[in-house]
Amino acid sequence: MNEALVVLVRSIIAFATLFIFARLLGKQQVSQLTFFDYVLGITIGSIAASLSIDLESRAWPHWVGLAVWTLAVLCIQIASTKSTAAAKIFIGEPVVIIRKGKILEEAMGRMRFTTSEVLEQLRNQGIFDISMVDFAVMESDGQLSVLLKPEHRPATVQDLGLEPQGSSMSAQLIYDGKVIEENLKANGVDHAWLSKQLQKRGINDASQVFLASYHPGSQKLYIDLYEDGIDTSTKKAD
Amino acid sequence: MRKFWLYTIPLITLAVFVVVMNSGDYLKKPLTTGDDFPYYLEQVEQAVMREDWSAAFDYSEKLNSAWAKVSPRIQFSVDKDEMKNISVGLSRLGAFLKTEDRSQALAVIAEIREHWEHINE
Repeated sequence: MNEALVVLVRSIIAFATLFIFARLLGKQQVSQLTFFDYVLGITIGSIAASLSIDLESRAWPHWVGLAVWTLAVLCIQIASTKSTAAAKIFIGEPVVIIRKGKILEEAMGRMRFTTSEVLEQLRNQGIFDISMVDFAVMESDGQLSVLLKPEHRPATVQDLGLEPQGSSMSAQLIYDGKVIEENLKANGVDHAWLSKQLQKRGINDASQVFLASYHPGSQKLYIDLYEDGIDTSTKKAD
Repeated sequence: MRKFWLYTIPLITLAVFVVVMNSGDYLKKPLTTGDDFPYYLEQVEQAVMREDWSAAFDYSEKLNSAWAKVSPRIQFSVDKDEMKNISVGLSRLGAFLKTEDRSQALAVIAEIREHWEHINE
């Protein structure tokens, strides 16, 4: 048996399978990790590693294990979206631990959450004074969501009585030296306009540009060139 | 059309992987000349039973040659230990044929057959 070749083939199978299964499970696996999701991720990764390099057993049983765990997670996700009761069982539900500035000790006790842990989570969000907090909710992934009291919240455009600007998203017109045609059309601009903008900044060709990002609301074009003229070498202090 | 390929390509990829991982049972069958492992094993056994050591040697060489042809194509879907056991068994069989030890040779042939039949489990 050529072990290196077998490991190569099994690694390709493990990698591609894990990639497909991870895409199947979707983005929420990454962004909303509960403890169970975390453990699931480790388990699935461990099975994939065994599939890749454990030559003492066949690849097929490991692959089946990987598929079963992925299917189980998928079933939980589908059940959670279809049924509120299932979501409560599998994902849990958020718990209010501070309401109208008052700490709910019973809720904290149920979550086995200590005061120092609450204060630590508040400090992580830049809140060093608990009296500023109106509501705090412990989410199912263990994160603390905080609503400050009105007098401590950042001022909004509405508070200042100002006229808000229309919101829009930036679009990349040039990336890695190449013009992105769809974004030009989507933002109502064309090559002639783009060339004129580049020439205003002394740029003759789009291939010199690493990134050109256009914000339709402000009609501003941000340009970053490959040649920035910035010294990136690190020098040791004498 | 794009959505069609978005689903089809991963499904085809997974199907190919499943086929590769389960190909052992099919690929261990004789596909070319001189790779009929069970046949040569049977011939060696019969030669040993009638104590025709010259024929046993000839067939054991063909058996080793068959194993050399089959093992590279089944290595991706079978247990490494079973392959190792077969290789070790073939070496022991060669030694027992040299010493013309009938009982030990037959025992090793039975072992090799057992490993061969369960190589894909």
